[in-house]
Amino acid sequence: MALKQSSSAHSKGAFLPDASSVLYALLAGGVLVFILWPTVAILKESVLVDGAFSLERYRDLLTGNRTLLKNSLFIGWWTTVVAVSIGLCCALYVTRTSFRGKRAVLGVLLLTLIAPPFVSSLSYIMLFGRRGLVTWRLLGLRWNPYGAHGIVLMESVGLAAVAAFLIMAVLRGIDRSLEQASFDLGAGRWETLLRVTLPLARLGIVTAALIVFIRSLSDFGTPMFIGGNYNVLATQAYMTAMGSFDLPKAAAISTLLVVPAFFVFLVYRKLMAGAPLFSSKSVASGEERSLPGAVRWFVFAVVWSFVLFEAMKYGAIFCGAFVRTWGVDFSFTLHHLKTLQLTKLDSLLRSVRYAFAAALITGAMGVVLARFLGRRATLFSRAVDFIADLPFILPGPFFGIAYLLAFNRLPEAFLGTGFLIVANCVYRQLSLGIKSGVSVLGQINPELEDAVRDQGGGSLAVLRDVIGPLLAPAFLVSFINTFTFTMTTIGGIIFLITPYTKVLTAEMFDAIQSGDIGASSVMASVIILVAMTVNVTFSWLLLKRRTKGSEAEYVSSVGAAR
Amino acid sequence: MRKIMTLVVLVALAVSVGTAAFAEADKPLAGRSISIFTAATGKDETFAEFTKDTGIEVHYLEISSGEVLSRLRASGGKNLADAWFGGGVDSYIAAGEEGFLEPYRSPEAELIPDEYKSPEGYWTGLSLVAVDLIVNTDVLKEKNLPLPKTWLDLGKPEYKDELMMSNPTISGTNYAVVFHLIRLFGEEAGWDLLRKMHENIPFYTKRGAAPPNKAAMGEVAIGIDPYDVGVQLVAQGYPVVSVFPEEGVPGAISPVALMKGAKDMEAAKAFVDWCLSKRGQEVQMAYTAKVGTRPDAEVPEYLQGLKNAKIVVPDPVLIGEMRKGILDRWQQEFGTKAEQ
Amino acid sequence: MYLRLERLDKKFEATEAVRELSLDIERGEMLSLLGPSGCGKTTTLRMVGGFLRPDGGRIVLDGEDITALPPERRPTATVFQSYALFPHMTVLRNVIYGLKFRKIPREEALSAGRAMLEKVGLPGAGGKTIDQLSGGEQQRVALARALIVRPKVLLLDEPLSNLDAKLRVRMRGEIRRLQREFGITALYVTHDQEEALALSDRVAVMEGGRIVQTGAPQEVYGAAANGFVADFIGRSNILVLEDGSRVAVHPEDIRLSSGGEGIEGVVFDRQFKGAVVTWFVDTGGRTVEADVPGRSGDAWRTGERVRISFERESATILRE
Repeated sequence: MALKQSSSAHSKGAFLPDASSVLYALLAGGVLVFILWPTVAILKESVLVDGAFSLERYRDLLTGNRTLLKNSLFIGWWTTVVAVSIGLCCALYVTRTSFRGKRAVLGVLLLTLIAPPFVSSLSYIMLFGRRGLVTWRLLGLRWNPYGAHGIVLMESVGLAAVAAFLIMAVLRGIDRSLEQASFDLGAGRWETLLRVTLPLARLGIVTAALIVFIRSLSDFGTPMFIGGNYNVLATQAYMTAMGSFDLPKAAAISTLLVVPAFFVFLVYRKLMAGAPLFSSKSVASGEERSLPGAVRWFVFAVVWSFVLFEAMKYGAIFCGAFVRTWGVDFSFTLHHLKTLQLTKLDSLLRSVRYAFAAALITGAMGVVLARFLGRRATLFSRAVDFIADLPFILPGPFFGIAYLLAFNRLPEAFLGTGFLIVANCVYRQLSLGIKSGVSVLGQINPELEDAVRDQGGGSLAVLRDVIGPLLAPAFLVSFINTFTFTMTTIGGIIFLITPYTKVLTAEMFDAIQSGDIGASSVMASVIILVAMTVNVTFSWLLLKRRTKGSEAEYVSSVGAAR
Repeated sequence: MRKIMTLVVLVALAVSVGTAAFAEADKPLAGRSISIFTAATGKDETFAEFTKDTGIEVHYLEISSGEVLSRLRASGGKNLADAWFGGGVDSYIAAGEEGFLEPYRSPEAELIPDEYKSPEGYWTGLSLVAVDLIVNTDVLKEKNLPLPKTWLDLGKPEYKDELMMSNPTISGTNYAVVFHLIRLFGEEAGWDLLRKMHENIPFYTKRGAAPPNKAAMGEVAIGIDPYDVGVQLVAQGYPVVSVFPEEGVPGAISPVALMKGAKDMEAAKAFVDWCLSKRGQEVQMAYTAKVGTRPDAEVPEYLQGLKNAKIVVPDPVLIGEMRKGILDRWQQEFGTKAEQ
Repeated sequence: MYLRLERLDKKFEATEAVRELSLDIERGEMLSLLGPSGCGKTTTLRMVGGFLRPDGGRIVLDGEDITALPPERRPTATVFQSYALFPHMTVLRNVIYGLKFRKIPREEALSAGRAMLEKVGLPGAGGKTIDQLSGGEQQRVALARALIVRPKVLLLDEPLSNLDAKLRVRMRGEIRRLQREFGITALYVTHDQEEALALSDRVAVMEGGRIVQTGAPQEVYGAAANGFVADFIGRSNILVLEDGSRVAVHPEDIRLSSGGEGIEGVVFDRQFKGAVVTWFVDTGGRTVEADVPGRSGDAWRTGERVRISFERESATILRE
């Protein structure tokens, strides 16, 4: 009988009233103030009419604007189907075939993951618009690009990467000996795929579908730019909040959006309860040609079509940055770049600053909270964990409007510091920080702590010499993720922009709206470049430290977190 | 104890506060920078000149005048910015009445005609935004459509799906168009024309600058255009031409105003003064393609063409008074196609 | 006595893991705590190490009551079952880790570390990382780390259980050698009775949270205090004598003869184990195992009738 938990005399319920308790209280308090309170605020606003409780806004929405809900669900459903299909093919390609070019595929997937969500709309118009390069110049088609079809296409292509990484993580974690056993017992490749591999990957596929669905519901940019008349809830929420500034109504719309998202959230939590984020168990390496022939070629076709499409998409954007007037004058120019430098440099630097700040804070907070939350299973800590998880799954507009409602009364001077924007990004990504912290902590041999004590070190030494260094990977994962997110997000924070807190994504959003191709392309390119650079640099740092075999898990988990 | 963790968190907090403090460098320190809501082209160059002249930094947010009004109404009295530059005068009028603006009669405004100024001193006209049509000649040729010459032409069924306009509840310029058409043709015929146009418009955009851009891109044939946007599109080489409908176009007043409760009233006033000065007006005319209200400012060459267009300046009081009624009706009849 | 455990009690929720445990350990002695899973031996060890607070009782080391001291202030050092080597540090840094809390300057610590690595048979391995070492090598590093701080008591928590059989035997010898060389008092926890017998000066057999017998290995083996000990240490045959009393006899103490006095039985199986041959004899329902030297080969045949006898002294009377 070996006691496998660290039973140092100072843990296990010994709640010392000291600096650590205060710290815990502060962090938990932060979670309550910056997540629970805004959520309450927005819910409250949506049911208050002239100071009295009333559900009439919801009634109006559900009776008068049912098309909105219907449209949102329609788009969500089809986007999920297409995105998960593409993602599944990519995942199978990388983990179950011996085709070459996997690095290219992974690279493209990462690129898609990092790029701001509505950049697709920009290139859609450039390539497939009425006067698009492909549809008009090349193919001479005359068609109406606006509508549901465009939305589903661009959303699914954009979200396929999320699905791909999630499913990849699960496929990688499947114990290959199970598949080998299946072959050994006489099952063919089709049967093994359908009866062993896919069912085992069920968790990943379902999670991917859930996350894609929520993302699609929250996307207001794509329908806005290329939807034309086709209106969805997310866009309506945005319009109502930004256009007529009818915040209570916008609150009601966003809340309606949350209902399906919340169900998905509960299912997600249930599913994720068992599954660790980083699995350390070593898996038997498997035969890479375990897919049936027809499936292999199908997957090949789908994946490379996807890769080429994405390459074209981003190629257009990068080109657009250096083209004088897209669609008219394709001569090379640095004009847009110069304009960026002159007028938008401020916003770029601000974006980077906010991103760094948010990344540092989330990294540190996540790791510390993991330490506190991972050890106790009290009602309070479970509540904090649940609340911390909420924003991860809530639609951006909901969370953004919530912040607006909750903190609007603060003096403008304070809001001008960008504090709200950073806080919004921090608390949206905090749950990943906590999860990676908990996951890594769970893998630390508890006897290591005892060993430190045994040798003469106190709590300080434990943290400094063991916990700290071993948690570094969790910190880095959280850092990379939050930086990328803050750098490229628009959904929540667009509601928080003031003259003093303009960020580059918001500027880009404006530029796309105005139809300024050159400006939007150059801004998109810069954002992607910065995000990519930081991602690659810090990932390299991270992979150096981690034990072999877990890089796949890391990549997948980062993908999942986006 | 957990000293090291506290230390880490404190360091992180310090860095973030420090970064915030770094960001606080953007905040208005006494007398040195102002924040502005604006919906105008050429603002970067204009503001740069202002900063060069006065040393005051400008932080602006690009936002349609209709949105500004909404935000002011939702702000609960909290000050949102120091000054307001450009956009539709109708929103300024409403804002003035509702007490969001700080009355200020700039000494520079002496030479500006009265019809371009608010009687209560809430706002002062900077320039006139003419509205024209930006027409894509390639699309016309391809679809075998004639060049539209009048507002009534826009209602013709042959232009189905080829016309684009902005949502007048958001875009001050487009509200001026609606107002203009109603005044021009009368209530009945005016709304009738709007209905016919509505048939031809696939959807209403949010930004005033979007329709001409879409026309330039070839997404539609005709975009209702704030003249200053169109001028740049033509210059960029898009296959578009500017057309002034023969019945006359609205010349909406584009004003400037001080916000109530501006943190740095002195700097904000300096801004208003500069905008209305001869120098400021000339700078604006160089970059914003709008004819200035100050008669002694020189009108640059490329704007001379505007002089030939038949520009009707809407009654500033009336345009404000009728706003709510017109927009409510508009919303009811046409709101479905709006991106709002 | 150097280390005294006085009436230690430890309860985990409803279970009493350790009950009124008292033990005296002499200076320089290697004492094993031996018993099956759940008997409380590891709990006891952890209490000595300071990782668990006893619910009752005292621990006195070299005259000082250390019961209330946290692990970092106790003059004990532990070799953990999982070795607990710091994965992110090199071997050398692992070994000298504890020295910094004793304010030993870095240079001195480094050379002491290198010297210790030589002592445990890992010269020059200082620069390696833990994952580059084999199980046995990691064991030695763990030992080195514990010994270098010159603890008053060395605590070993089943340190050999993760190694394969041959290595275990070899490492056993290494541990014993080092313990003797440094003259360190050691408390060794194991469930392997052969191990306990082989390397201890004394063995304390535990069952159900209590010590049931303490003594030199021969005592515990040859003169078991009760049935449990007799059965746990080595193998025992339970025999019923003519007067109805029950005794336990080790297989090597059983004599088989074709005739004469003794219990009757029939040979039914044989296992050749290299050094010994075990004969399985059926005595009417009960199986008796008899060990004879391997070279005696095929003394009997299956089905042959034999007589079982043994020396009186080698039998432990069982009083249940």
